[in-house]
Amino acid sequence: MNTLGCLDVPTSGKYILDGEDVSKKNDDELAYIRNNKIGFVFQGFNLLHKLTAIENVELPLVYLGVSARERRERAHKALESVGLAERENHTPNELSGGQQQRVAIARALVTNPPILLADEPTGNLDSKAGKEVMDIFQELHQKGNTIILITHDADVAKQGSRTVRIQDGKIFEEGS
Amino acid sequence: MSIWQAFKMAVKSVWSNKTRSALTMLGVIIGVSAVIAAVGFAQSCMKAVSGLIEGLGSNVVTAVITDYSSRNSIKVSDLDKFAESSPYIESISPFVMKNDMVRGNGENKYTSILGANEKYLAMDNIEIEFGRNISSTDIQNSSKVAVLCSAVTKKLFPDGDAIGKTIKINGVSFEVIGTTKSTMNDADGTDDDQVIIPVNVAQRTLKISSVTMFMASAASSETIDLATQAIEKYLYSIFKDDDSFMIITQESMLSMLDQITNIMMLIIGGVATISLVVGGIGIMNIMFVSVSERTREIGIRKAIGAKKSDIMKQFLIEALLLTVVGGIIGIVLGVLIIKYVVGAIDALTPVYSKEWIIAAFTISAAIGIGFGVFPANKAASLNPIDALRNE
Repeated sequence: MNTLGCLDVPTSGKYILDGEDVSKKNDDELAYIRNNKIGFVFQGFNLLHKLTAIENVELPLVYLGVSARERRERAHKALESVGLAERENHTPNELSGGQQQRVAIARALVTNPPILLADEPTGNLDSKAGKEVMDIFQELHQKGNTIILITHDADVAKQGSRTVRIQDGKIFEEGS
Repeated sequence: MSIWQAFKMAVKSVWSNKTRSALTMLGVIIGVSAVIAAVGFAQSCMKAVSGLIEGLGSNVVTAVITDYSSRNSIKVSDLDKFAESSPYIESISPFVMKNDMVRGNGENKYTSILGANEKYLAMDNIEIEFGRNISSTDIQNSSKVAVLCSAVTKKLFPDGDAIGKTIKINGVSFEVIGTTKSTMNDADGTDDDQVIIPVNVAQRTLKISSVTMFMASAASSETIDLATQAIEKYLYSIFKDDDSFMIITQESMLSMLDQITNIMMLIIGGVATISLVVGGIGIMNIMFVSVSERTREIGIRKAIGAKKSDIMKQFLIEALLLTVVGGIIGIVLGVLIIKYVVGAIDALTPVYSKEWIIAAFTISAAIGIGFGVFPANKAASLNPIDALRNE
């Protein structure tokens, strides 16, 4: 997961992402790839609590160097696509778990990355909120986004178009 | 990420922790305001003292005999002979002085009794208001006459009518023949707080036989050096020792004052630097706490694409913001202290030193960067995986 997300480089082997070998990149190049090519969705949401929903969504664009007006526009659209446009000025503490995770998805989407990487996105949610989040993933998938989703939940896993089972660090089973 | 973006983030973060930010700034505020107030106070004092010295007149030399035990001594007549023989000395007045009680008009005043000749008042820029100065005839006749300076007149004869009245010094009666105008250049009033009597009368009344001090004036400020040299030579011929006497000119006192000022500024500068460094360490401390507290935030920022330099910028600007804002508040406070505390002292005119204000501000900003670098670097170097795992 850390390697896929370019948070870490592999100690051995190669990782080719979007046609580029990322195994030998330095910290700043990895930061750029994380910013531009990967959208993270974490189990614990990982939103910044002092910022409002829209400011959280804007943050990757800040690091990308996008102008303030364009940032606001794109963040608004991303929040709209997860159905939270009317709550954009609330801080994470004022949102439910499912809503927070949707803000996190909007944040992951806002840079239009080729890959969305979701690490147990439903793990901290009740089943209703979990379903909401999965519906959004389905919708995004239909629109053509690549989503890598890591889960323990067999029901969630079923929804993928391709499933890879990893056990004790080895690929155990692969199928579609 | 642009500097402007980093600045906005830093402002937000400083603002969202108002109490902590204010306490952190306090060190810098106190440091900067203390520097500015201390320097302002010292400079105001120095200005007042140099005003006093300038009041001496630039063509006047004062000689003080410091060796009382010497078998050699100067008589009044020797001094007159010396003055006549030296072409550079225009006039000279011996001093015989003692602090004593003066009684008159039913009042007492403890003041300085100065035995001098008729030339003294002019040399010391003191003007007669009523009556007359002592004259050479008074000295020839050993007349028991006195000139009262303004502070003494005010105490003994508040209604100002002193001429012709009698005062008593050491049990001897003197007739008041003149009073002087107040000297404006003299902040603590030593020139205004004295009674002038003929020098030979003073020797007898005060029981002092030799001259302990004298004042001489050169024909002009150009020949002051030559006059000073002549006096030095004369005194050396009597005492055969440089340490037995001291020659004071306006120039020598101003250069001495300059040296004192420089030493004081060094001391103040040293103390100020220490207090600013302590303030800086306070900032570093808080920034380290802030980095540990915000490890997770840093991890999130890194995961979504913040570069090492972005995090560095954010924390460095936060530290800089604290010191710069603290510095500005400190400057305002320091200037207010000079204005209202130093300004409240009558003898002092407040002096504001632009150089020190700029220096204090620059040092505090430099401390912000200097002490902000370590915590900022710590934040920037965090591994995003570890940082994200941090709860």
